[in-house]
Amino acid sequence: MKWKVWYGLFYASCVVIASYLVPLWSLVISLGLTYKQYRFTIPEILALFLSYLVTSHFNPLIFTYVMRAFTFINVFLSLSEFLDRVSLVGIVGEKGIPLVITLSYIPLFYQLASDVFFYRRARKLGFSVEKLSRPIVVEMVKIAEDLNKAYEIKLHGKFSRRIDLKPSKYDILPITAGVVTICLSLLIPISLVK
Amino acid sequence: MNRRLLIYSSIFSVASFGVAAVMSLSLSLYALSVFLDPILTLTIPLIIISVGIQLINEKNGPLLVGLISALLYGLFFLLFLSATFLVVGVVVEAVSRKVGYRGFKAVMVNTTLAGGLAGVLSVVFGFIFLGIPAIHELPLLTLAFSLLYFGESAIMGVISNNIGKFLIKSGVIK
Repeated sequence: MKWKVWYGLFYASCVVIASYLVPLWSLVISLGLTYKQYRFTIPEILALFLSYLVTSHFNPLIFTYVMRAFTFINVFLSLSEFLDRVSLVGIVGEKGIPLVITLSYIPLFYQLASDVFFYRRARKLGFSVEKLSRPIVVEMVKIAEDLNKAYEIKLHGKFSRRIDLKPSKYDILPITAGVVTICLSLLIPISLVK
Repeated sequence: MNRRLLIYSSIFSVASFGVAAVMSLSLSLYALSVFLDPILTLTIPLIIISVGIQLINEKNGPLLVGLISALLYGLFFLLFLSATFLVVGVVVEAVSRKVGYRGFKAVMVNTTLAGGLAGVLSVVFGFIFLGIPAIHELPLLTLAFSLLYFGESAIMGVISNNIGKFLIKSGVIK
């Protein structure tokens, strides 16, 4: 299931605009669309609950910022999961490559970090920041080098832009999600914080 | 300014920013106090930045890392952190032209300066932008936390020096 760039951007901008109107609805809907990364969703719900408890005790206004920040992270996660990278490169060409890499980046590092922690437990190693961060840093260096190499050896040629506006059946999901978010935050403005 | 410098510094500052954002959000320490947030930011994100400066090993590297981090924080409307990273980038750039980029002494000086300044300045700019909190003995508390930030950054400097040494020995960094 892949979204085309236009519809992904439409969804993202709708959710971001709605998060400035009423943060709650855009948070709920963007959280719903990260269902594929459920290993990230469950800790996030816990963190939200915890920070609600903490901030409602000390300074309730900050919770609006927390919800907005989580909304941005969720939008980024769902775009990195669902965005059709071919259509992104088809529109912006070579300039889109860093963007594609940034989008692929977070899921890759998340996978890497969970693998490292799994092997640490399986081999009963102690918790040492230095040893645990080595594979992650090596991978980061490798990505930087690969990106640099890809730019150095690129083939120059004629680039033809392909703009494909026709929505596929999977593009219905981001369109509905964006419209529903805007409508809900305009019609039912609930704010958790007084 | 060449493309290698730009690519490397943007990758490392984006990675550091992502880790810092996820870490501080999941613990939401900054909701409690402006003093507690830097303690978290000065662990893994600082190591990533420090290894990045060792890898870039060029003039204008720390300046560009600071600039891109400031841009990222500005994008999320955290303006006091944005100002902090601008100042830190300029200072570390000036110092690193003297002491260099690799080796124990250079890494220790750069990392301690970057982390300690980032911690202290984020508290100071936090006071300026967000208002001074009503706590007794504020100067004493600020001094104690400044010492804590510098000490923590020194520990991170040792760790990132070890990681950098490992990377150079194993041939990952040339």
